[in-house]
Amino acid sequence: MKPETVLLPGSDIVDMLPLGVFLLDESGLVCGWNTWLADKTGIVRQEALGKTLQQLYPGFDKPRFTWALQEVFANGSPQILSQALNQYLIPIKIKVMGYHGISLMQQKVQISLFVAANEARLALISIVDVTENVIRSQALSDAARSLKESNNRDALTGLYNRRFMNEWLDQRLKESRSIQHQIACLVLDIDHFKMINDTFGHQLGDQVLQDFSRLLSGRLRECDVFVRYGGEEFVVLLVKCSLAGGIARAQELIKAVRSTSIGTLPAGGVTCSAGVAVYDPKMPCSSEMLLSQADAQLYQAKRNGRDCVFPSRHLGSAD
Amino acid sequence: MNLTLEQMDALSEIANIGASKAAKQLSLLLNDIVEMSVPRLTIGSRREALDLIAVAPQDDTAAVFQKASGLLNAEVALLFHSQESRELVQALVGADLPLEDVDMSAFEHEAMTEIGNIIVSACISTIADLLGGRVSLTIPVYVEGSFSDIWHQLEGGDRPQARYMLVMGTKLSAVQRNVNGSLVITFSLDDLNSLLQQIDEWLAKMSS
Amino acid sequence: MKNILIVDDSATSRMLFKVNLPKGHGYVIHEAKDLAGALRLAEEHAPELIVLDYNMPDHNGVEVAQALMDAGIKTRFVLLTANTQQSVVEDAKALNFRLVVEKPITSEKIATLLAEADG
Repeated sequence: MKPETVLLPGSDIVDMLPLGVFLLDESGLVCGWNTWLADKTGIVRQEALGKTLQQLYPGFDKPRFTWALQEVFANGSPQILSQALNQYLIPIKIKVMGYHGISLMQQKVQISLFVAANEARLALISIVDVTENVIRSQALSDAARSLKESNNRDALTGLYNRRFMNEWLDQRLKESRSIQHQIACLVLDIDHFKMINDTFGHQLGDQVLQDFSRLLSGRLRECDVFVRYGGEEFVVLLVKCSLAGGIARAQELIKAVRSTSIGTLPAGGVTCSAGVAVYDPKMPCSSEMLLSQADAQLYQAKRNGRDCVFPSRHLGSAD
Repeated sequence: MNLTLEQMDALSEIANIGASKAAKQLSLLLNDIVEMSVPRLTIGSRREALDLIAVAPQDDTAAVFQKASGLLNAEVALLFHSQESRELVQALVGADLPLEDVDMSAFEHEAMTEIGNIIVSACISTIADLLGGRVSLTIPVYVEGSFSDIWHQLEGGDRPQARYMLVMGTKLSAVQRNVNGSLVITFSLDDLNSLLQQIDEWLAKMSS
Repeated sequence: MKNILIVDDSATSRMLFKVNLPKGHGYVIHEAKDLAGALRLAEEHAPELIVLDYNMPDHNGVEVAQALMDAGIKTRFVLLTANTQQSVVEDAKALNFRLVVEKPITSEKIATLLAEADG
């Protein structure tokens, strides 16, 4: 049954507006459809009139919109459907595809009650295209995010810096108290780095640092944090890792360093020492204490001749 | 302002139903579990209401304003703690870094307007449904500012009549975030009495 | 004589329930506003149906039903709530509630509810 076609007062004006305007009656049938909508959707007015949105767009199912219509018809309560929470009401493909992964027009929608000359109660729905704003906002967000990231990173190696580590570690220690898992802390120091720098020059020294970082990064999990702590000092933080696990990982890492050519020096030309400590939520300590424990172990490793891990194996109860 | 026990109970039930409906609609929209409770409901003079809302004057507040007419004639405002609502919206909109020094963008304002719109709509339509009448609302307007600025807007206008406020404290929980807020309905004495009379009539009809 | 127990902290809500019952329904309606009252009345009258509001101050309706079941009350449970979110409905289903009825209550909804008492 075709509804009476409603003549919107000032229909000519509505057809000139740079936004979508359409009307639905209480059965959900389209009673008005402006030119902007016809242009953007490819559905001409004659085709849209008398149909429901479900008929025009099979699969159309938006609970927020359904309830919004109920509220408008029952009480004239105007409704806002934000882009932030709804993205869009009517799926309209945009011509410039794929920027920031957006392929459909982003829409801000408002619904009000309109009482026509024949006293029919209709929902007046307006659609504003906010795609450009969304893209711009996302670009700004990305820029801000990468600026923040660069504040957290060491320029030469791309690893996290000390500043980031302090914030991150405090946060993780707090979490580990509630989630109750251990965090292993490895402090690694490239052996005789000062000598490498003095003998072969800073350029090679930098390359050693970069190769070292890349080599070890590849051997760590996504969730682990690898930090350039000082000139030739590095920290690896392993979440959900016991002391035994930390020691095993450290042994693996220093072995990789020993057996790989780093900074054009032959394999074995660069070695490192490692100290391992673990944070146990059952005996909590501060992040400073954790680091200084691992540091003390590193000192032992150096005293023990370098290119080794201290403690070398986990004594005591099995994990 | 002294209401009878029956009137308070009726208003509490209306508030609970409104909050529950809002929670359901929000959960459908946000695709997540949403809880909304009404820990506190009071009616008092402007001064009494100010004490109840208990937000420090300089605290940042986000508010959605609408005017109601019909069965209920009043100004309706939903007030939220800015920081809490910003964290909620950022969690919803998917911003994974809380960019503290960046002002909430227009999109986040829009999202808060919609959330406020849903809550006010659910509560007002519950009043209308139960009491058997219609309430028209104006288009919601979003404002952010210090609490005292917002408060002045609530008091706003030059109506000399005594103003009364129905304050419904709300706690909205979604995506592991909590937002504390207040729904504040501001009436003139006559309009408040009109509402209370309609509640009395409704209760009387039911118990006969 | 069939007994129905309604548990809701709001007197208005309990009144709305009674007002929507069909005339001459023939049930005896008992009212409680909290767990303690519910327990007492359930033990005393062994109702065929217990209708619980979801939003209550100390325990929600599902928790109250659990407590009643733990106390050995065996009967049919129906949840009354305006918050018919999936999570709430699932909690109710998990405890074997027969029905979840959406507030505000109407006479049609009461009819469905009563069918549970008779069924």
